[in-house]
Amino acid sequence: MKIAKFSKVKIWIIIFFVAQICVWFAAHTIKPKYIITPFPPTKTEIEAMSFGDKQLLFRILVFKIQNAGDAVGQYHNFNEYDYNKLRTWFEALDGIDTHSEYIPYMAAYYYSIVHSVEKSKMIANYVADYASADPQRHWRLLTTALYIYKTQVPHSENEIYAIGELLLRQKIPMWAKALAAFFLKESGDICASYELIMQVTKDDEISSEDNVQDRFLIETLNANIEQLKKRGRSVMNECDGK
Amino acid sequence: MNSFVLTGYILKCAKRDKIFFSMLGALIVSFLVSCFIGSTAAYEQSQMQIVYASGIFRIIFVYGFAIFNAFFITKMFQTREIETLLAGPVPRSSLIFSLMLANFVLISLLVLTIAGLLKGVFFDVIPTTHLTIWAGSIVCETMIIVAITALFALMLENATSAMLFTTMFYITSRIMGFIVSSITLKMQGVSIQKVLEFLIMPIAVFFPRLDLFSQSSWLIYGDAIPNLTIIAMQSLVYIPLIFLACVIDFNKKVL
Repeated sequence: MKIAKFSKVKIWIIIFFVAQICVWFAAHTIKPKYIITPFPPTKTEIEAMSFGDKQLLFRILVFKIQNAGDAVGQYHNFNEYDYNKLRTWFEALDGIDTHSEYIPYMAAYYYSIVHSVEKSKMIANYVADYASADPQRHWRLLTTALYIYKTQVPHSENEIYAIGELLLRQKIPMWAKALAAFFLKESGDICASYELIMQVTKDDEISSEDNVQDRFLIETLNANIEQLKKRGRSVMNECDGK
Repeated sequence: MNSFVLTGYILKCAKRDKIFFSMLGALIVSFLVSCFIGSTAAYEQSQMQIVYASGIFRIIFVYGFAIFNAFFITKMFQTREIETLLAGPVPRSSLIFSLMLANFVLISLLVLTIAGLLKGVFFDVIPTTHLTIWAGSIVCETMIIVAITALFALMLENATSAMLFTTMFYITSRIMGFIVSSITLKMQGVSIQKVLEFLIMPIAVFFPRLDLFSQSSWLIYGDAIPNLTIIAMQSLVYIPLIFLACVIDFNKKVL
C-alpha cells in the first residue's frame, strides 16, 4: 500500500517536473524589453522616490544615466541613444542638485562623443545653456561647448560668436577669451574673428607684459590680425564697415 | 534596582546578541562597498562615496536597531524574562527608560565611530560642523525609530508584525514631505479627493517629518543647514511622546 502511494507521489512529481520543463521552454524566449535610454522621471516622481534625501536619489540617478545602455553585458553605440530623452534627464537632474557639475561635465566629455551632428549640437546647446546661467563660474564648460561646436557641429559660427562674446565679459584667463576668435578664424568667418580679437586685445586686464602666457597670446593675436590684414584690405574694410 | 543597573543589563544583552559588533561590521563593509561604487563615477568621486555611505549608514542604523529592539522585546515576553525583571521593585517606566538609554549609548558610540571614519577618509571634503549636525540627526532619527519599534513590539508582542508596522511608519514618515505637498496642491481643485485629503491630514499629524533628517547633501556642501530648529524640536517632542505611549501601554499590560 505504502509503495503504491509513494509511486503515485513520484508520478505526480515527474508530471509536474515535465510540465515545468514545458513552461520553461515556452517562456525562455521571453526577455525583458531593454530600454537604452530610460524614461526621465517627473518632478512628482523625484519627490516621491527621494524618501526625503534628494541628494542620495540624485547620485543614484546620475549612475543610472551614466551607465544607461551599458548594463547586463550590453553595449550600445551613442547613435542608438535618444538624445531628446537624455536632455530631459540632464535638466531633471540639474533641478535636483544645483551645485553639482556632474551632469554638464558628463554630457560634455562623455555623451558628446557621438558621430551625429544633430546629437552633438544638442549636447553643445545643453552645455552652453547650463553654463550661460552663471558664465563666470562655468567658463570652462563654455570653452568645452565651443570646442564641441568647432569640432563636431559644422556651420555653428553664430553659436561660437555668441559664446565668445559671453566669455569676453568674464574675469577669466586670456586664452579662454581668445578661443572663440581662433575657432572663428579657422572656420573662415574672418569678420567675426577680427571683431572678437580686437575686443580681446582692448582689454586692459589681460595685457600684462609679465605674464608669459598672456604675452604669447597677445603675440599670437597680433599675428592673427596681421594675417587677416594680409588677406586683403577689402576684407578689413568690409569687416570695419560691418 | 535603578534605571542605570537596568541599562547595564540591557547593554549586556546587546553584547550577548553581538549587536554592536554586527552593526559595526555592517557599517564598515557598507562603507567599503560605497567607496567602491563611488569610485566608478566619472566625476565627483568623493562626493559619490560620501553620499552613498551616508545613505546606507542611515538604513543600517534604522533597520539594525529596529530589528534588535523588536526581537529583544518580544523575546523578553516569550522567555518570561520581563516577569523576572519586574518581580523586583522596578517601576515599568524604568524598564522602558533603560531600554531607550541603552539604545542611545549604542547608537551614539556607533555614530561617533562612523563620523570619525568619514572625517578620517574625507578630511578635506566634509565640513566638521555639518558632519556633527548630520551625526546628531542620525542619532535622533534612529532614536525615533527605536521608540516606535518598542511601542509596536510592546503592543503586538510579535517581532514580525512590529517590524512590518515600523517599516510602514518609517516609509510614511520619510515621504511625509511629498504627502503634505501633494495634499496642498490638490486642495486647490474641487474634487472627491478633498474627502481623502481631510482623512490624510489628521493621520499625517501623528507622523514625524523624518524627510528633513540626515540629508546627505549636508556632508558634501558647506551651505547653511535648513530646518535645523524643526529637526531639533521634532526630536525633543516625538521621542518623549512615544516613550510616554510605551509607558502607558506597558503599565496596562497584565503580566
